[in-house]
Amino acid sequence: MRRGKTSLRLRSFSATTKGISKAAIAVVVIIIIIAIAGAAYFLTLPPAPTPTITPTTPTPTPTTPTLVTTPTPTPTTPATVVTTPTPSPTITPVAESIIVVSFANLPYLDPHVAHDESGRAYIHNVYDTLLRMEYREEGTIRVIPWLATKWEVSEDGLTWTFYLRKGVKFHHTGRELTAEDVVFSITRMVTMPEGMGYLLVPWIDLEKTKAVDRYRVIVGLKKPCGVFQYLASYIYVVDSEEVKKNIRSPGPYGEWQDFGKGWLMEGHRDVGSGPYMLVEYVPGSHVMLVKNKDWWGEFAPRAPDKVKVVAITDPVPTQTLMSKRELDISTVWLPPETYQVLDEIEGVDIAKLHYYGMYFLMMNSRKPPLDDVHVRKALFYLFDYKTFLEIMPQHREARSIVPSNMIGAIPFPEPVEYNIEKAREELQKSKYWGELDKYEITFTWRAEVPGEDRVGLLLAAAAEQVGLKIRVVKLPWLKVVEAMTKPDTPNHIEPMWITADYPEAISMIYLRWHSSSHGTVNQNEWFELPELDAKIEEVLSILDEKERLSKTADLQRYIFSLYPSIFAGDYTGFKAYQSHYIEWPSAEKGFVGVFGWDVEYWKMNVYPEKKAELVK
Amino acid sequence: MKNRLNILYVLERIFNHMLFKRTVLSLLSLFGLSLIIFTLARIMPGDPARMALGPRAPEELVQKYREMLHLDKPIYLQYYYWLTDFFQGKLGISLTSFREVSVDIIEFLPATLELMLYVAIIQITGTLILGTLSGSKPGSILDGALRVFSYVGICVPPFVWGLILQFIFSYILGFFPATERLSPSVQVPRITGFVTIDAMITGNLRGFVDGLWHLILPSLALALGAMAQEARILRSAMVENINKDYILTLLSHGIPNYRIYFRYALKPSLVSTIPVVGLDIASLIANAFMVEVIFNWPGLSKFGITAMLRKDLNGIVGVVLVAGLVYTITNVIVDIILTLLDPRLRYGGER
Repeated sequence: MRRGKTSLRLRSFSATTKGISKAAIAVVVIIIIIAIAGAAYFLTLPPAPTPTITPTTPTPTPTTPTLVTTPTPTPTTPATVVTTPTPSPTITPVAESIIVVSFANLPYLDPHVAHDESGRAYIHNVYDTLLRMEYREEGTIRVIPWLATKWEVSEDGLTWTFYLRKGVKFHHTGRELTAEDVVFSITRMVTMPEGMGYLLVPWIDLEKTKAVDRYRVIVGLKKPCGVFQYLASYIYVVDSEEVKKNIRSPGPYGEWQDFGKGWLMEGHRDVGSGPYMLVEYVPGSHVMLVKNKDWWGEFAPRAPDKVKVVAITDPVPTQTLMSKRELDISTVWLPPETYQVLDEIEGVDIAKLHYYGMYFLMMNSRKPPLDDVHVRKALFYLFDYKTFLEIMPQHREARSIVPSNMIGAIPFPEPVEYNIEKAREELQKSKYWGELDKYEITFTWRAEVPGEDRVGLLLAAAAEQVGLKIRVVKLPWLKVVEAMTKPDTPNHIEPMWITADYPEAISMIYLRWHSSSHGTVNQNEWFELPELDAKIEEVLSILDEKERLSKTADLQRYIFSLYPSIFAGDYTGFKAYQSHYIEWPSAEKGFVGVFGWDVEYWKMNVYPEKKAELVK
Repeated sequence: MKNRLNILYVLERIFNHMLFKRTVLSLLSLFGLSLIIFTLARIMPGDPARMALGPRAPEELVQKYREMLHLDKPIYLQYYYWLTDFFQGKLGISLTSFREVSVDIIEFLPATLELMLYVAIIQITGTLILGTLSGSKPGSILDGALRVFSYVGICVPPFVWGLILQFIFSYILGFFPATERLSPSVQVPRITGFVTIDAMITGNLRGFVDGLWHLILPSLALALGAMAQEARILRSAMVENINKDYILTLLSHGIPNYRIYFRYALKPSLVSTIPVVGLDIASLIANAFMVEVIFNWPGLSKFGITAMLRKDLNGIVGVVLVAGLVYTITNVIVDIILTLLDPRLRYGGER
């Protein structure tokens, strides 16, 4: 055996040499195959499109001049005359005009189910609404006519009449949109309030909502609603005949079975009439939209012909794709340092989008010691607001209990500052003073949000100086959602970003502190204050804007006195975008508004010839 | 009488046949798996009906949805309903995509299987070449290099390979596309769902090459770590085998060394390597998640993890069952290959 081994070793050199030569040949062959495949790939590539600009005869946009009356008694909507725009020479690009946009996930394709950022952006571009909120350059919002060219409110505020635009066509059937479709859409939103329909549920009286004629709809309300013009901006109108044809059984919506949700979610096609239409849905990969050339509205001169929606959230692929110009607008969810890297890529800029959003550290008022307002107030003073802005740079200083850019937001009634001494004074006033060491306050941070633990540790370090114990606990998102469904959750403080649905402060107040939010991720305070609910409902029912805003101010002072949350900072979303070849009004003029509505593709301009310069 | 004996004999042969036994065992395993995953999915935190309808849906609607999904019933009844649907070819409605889970599986499975196919090609080729080369010359520079490579391969998870490869070959060098299965300008009609195969069927050379080009980086990312580990296993088996007496006999007969290595030493060495290779490849169906995310690959693994994060009960059970089925089939294939390689296993012997 020993001799055998020796013999083998003696001969192994030549054996290996021969072995290697065979293997080497195999490797070389593989390399050659790959090289040939590569060569074939590049040889079969079509020649790069030569971007040419061809001046064409302008086609006037078929917008009918319509007189829009001011809806009484809400003076926020100005009387406007929508006229046919003066024809101006347009430029038709020959190279492919496409924008690739990324979100955290692909959208839900049912317009009455979509509710996250991606879904909101999708329905905003594919479906038309009765009215629409438009942001202005100076940072305010106005409600403008959309499918409804004018609207009236009855004196008691219970009946809203909308006059519909004529000649609006649904995408795939070409059928004209009528009042019946609007009534059907409202019924659908109220019956399946999974998406934005939750906004309508408290108000809409379905029995009194009807089509008067082909172009006139009456929307009946259960009680007066002063903000209904904003809510009408969420009534996404669907092709009722198409949806009815595709209803499946079983479903949770009574006689409506599944209300066509299954079919719509599968993404065969959309049932809308908006500026873009769905042409392709590859689950897990992308959604492709194309321009609806028959849309009644007006496109920007170089609005993209196609929009591809993807879900790329990882920093490295985002960086790679943006530098290769295969991604045009990034998500808002990248780590802050990634935006710095992206900003250094030639032709890429960072858009700062001021959403109606805020980062709250929500305190559970039913759990000792947080049931004492003095302890909650002490925590106000224990939060280092300046350091927080350094840890999470996508925030601005909070100046109000709601995002300070909202209509009717008032400054904090008293200074909110990091002050250990004041915190100690407050704790001394509390019933728990002297026995604080018996309580441990838990601060939950979500495993999916890197860096949120530092926010908890920041608070815990300050609290330790005054004898308050804060334990920073990591929990997965699912656990957080589950814990927040019950008031006896083990968690005292839940940090959360909350975004409001319309520009008035009452939108955020309703979402955050009305008892209808109990058990949802929008609220962790669990106040049992009937007077708070009553005050919120009262404000919402006031039709006169001036009076409503005045009452909203009182309400904010009242809520502040409860010290419900630590108002850590107003949220500003960052998105990297290809500023060299895309004109994006939201980025350039400083967007203020609803989460997801910063991407209005019909208002963007894309210049493929400028993109070609960078790709070279 | 004679005929009956013959039938009995044939039946006995069938029942004793390895493949039959394996199939029965596999079906039992899958049944067990379905029970376990069905229960596990239901004891995970979170209310699936609430997750599906969102935080804003009113409680009454959520309750109706629970009833529709039978979540208000005891778990054994829920399983009974699921099993009844299963035998009717239904896996239930996914709470992630809101359509039949089987439709989702048909949609996403080919992308992952295609990836697995190319990973298998790279992994098996690499393992054979590297394992044989280093096994034929233990202690050499190549052997040392492979050792380092295999340690690195084992330590570095596939998604990190994915990021590294994407960064170098796509971001810096620009050789390969960074994401997706095809370039935007290339269209391949869906027949089997395998882009490269569909392109071949339709005679679309550009589609084939483009699909292949997109497959290289994710396949490499998934193959590298496992390949390094398997090459080490093959190398150890080779070293053990080339010191056996029968090799010495072959040498004494003057048979060329390359034939000895590639034919007589490699074959028995593969017996210990192939099960590992098989399991590694089968595990991709569930483990490729991060790589699929990085390369925006619309595969089943990505769908499965999304289903888990959203507590999509039917989605989870469907994906895990498919993973179990792929494991089982791979195991059977591995067994068949092993019996071809080692005659002793064919006659009821042990490995």
